[in-house]
Amino acid sequence: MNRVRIVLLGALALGVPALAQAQSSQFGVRGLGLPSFPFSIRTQGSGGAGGLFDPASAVNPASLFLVTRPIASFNLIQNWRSSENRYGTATGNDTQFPLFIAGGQISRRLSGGVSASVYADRTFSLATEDSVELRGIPTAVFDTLESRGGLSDLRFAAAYRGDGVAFGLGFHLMTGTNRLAYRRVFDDSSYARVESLAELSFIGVGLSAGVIVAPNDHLLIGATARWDGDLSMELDTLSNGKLPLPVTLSGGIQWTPSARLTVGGHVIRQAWSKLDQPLKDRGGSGADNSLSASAGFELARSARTLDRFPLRMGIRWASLPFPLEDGLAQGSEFGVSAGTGYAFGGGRGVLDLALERIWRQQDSGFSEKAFAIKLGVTIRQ
Amino acid sequence: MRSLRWLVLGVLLAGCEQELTVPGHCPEFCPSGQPKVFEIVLPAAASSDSSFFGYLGYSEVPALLVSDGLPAGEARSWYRFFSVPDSILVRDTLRPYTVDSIAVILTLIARDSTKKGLVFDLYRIPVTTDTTTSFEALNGELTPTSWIDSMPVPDSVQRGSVRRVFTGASLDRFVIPASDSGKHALGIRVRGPGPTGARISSLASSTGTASFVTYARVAVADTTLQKHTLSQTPEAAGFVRTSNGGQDPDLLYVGDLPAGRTILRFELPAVVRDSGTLLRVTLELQPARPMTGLANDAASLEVRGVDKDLGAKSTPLFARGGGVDLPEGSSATVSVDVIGIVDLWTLPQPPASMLYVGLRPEGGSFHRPVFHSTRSGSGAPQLRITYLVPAPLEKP
Repeated sequence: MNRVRIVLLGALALGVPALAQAQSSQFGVRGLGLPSFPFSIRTQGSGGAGGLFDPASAVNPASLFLVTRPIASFNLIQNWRSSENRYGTATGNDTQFPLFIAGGQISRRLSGGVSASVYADRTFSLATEDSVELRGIPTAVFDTLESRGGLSDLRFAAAYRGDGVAFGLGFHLMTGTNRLAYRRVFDDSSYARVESLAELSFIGVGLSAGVIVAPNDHLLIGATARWDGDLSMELDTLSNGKLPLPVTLSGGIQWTPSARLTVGGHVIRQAWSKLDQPLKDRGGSGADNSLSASAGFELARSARTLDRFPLRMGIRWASLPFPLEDGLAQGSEFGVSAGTGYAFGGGRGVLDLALERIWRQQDSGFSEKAFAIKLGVTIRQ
Repeated sequence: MRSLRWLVLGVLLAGCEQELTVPGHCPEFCPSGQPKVFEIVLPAAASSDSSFFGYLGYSEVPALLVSDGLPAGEARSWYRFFSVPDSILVRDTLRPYTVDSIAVILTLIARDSTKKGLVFDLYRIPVTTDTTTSFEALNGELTPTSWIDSMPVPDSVQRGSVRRVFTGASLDRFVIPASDSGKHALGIRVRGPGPTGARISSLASSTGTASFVTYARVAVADTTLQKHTLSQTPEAAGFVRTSNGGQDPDLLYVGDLPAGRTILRFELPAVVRDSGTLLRVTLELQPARPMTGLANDAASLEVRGVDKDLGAKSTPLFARGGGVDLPEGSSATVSVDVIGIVDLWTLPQPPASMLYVGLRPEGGSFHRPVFHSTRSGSGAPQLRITYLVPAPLEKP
């Protein structure tokens, strides 16, 4: 047991700082960035469909009721992306460590867990070219604005297992930093290059509650509600005001018609519009409510080897809360995913792999195609 | 488990290199404010700019000047060589010798490479010539009666040794009067088809100095011991120039000899010091007269920062500086980028906000620029500062 505790704590300690590296996208430039949901790679293989019922995901605290022995899991995602907007095109890649989660059974009916995940990601780099008049001569300038980091979500949760029903509660500590770097280089090398650095840090708290009901042996129905308080911000240790965070509501269903097949889906709504005016007051382009939906399935090769290379497939769609420019229609993303998994060491270790093709779009001006390879490692006692 | 470890390691390594950049455009797709660029002209602090002289003595000059008809002024050089012995030690006996030939070797440091037919004229001058000798006094000694001979400089030689060997009757011109204690003193003029000049080696030159070589023959039976070479280097050397018009306290001087340097002081505005990011800082000096030198022989204005303001004894900071080659014959404003120095003035514990202006090569250049000061009425030294005030980075 001690070894397990050490492994779990070590994994968490290593994982929290690594969350700083995250997914880069032009759709994360505005507002708090690109929202992210803490689904395990197993779940992401089926489009995130079973996320409300997965103990290795951190969306529904009630899902921890399935944890009957110590478990630790982390996600690793490599993205390749091709971005296009009305100012040009670019390709890029980045690595994301979006989720670490650990849990265990506290008593016969009570389980608990802690997770660290990405709530919203603001990793991007924007390059612009312009001309300014210096000493009466038009001079080309090349600007780069780079942001690394985002908002992380540290959740402490517990779930109570009843007869045919489970409840869960979570306490969320929202922390994070955006390390911002502005660089300007002049075409005329007589002028010195400019570099300006700033660090925007966040802190806030939230609460979440979830329930999972099992009307029969083949069906799970889940729902969550999450409330987050105001997010306090500091810019280089000086107070930078507060931003309200959205209420998040979600509901999902998982149907297991046979031992080999699981089908599911969920819907998540986030009330980001409460940030609209505060962001505009800060010179931003506002925010809209967002909706996310997914559906998918997992098909095992046989009822006896559920964890040996099952086939997972799914789709997801989400509207994006932050317009990239003033007056643009709300953006969206659509993903198609497939995945599988492999249990080893007598089921003590599970390796999950998922591939996802993602399309993001906002109006006709901004689009992005991304391909992601996702690896999840789960260790159980 | 081994395959798992390799897979995790592989994916981790794949993620080590990230490429994040996408094109943006301000202000539409640009989550930050727009930085603003400003430009100010900052005159030197009134009456705190001044020139000081004597930083380099005659014995330290890196080159001697000779000229003929240059707008930069007339210059003549001289060498006084160590004594030539009147006997040579052969087989433990000091023996008299006869002179077979004499060679005079000068080292050319720079010339106007576009002018052909450069000739040095050698004159015998009094061995009493020294660094107190005026231009008029030395020039008065360079007469047809003291003329020894000329040394044509091959057109192909831009720098290096120039040698002339004297034999036969011309050796009579090198006979040393008894009162000169065996010393030769030579005055050097230069001439060409038109106005021209040259820089030749001094005692402090890194290229080696002049030589006076005597090829002697001793009357002994052993023919292998008959020939001897006596080589003398200068014990003193210098040059004289026509006057630069005196030292006007309302003007700023750089270079010449004894070498002059100029000190400028500035008060950096608080908005620049505290809020601005310097983009370019240019020191602008307005010449009080056309800057004349030797064509195709560059001299540069050297600007340095100063740690502590100790007036004329302030020590330049050699880590930060700026410089610019002086244009020949121009009266245009001289501009030197000095952002590397002025940037230090914005530090929490800044050095003196002071600039130290000198000439390179110091003391051995035809250039001796003169600039207007804050007391000149117009054309005072000034800093042209272009700076940027950053915009707030965060505009979500």
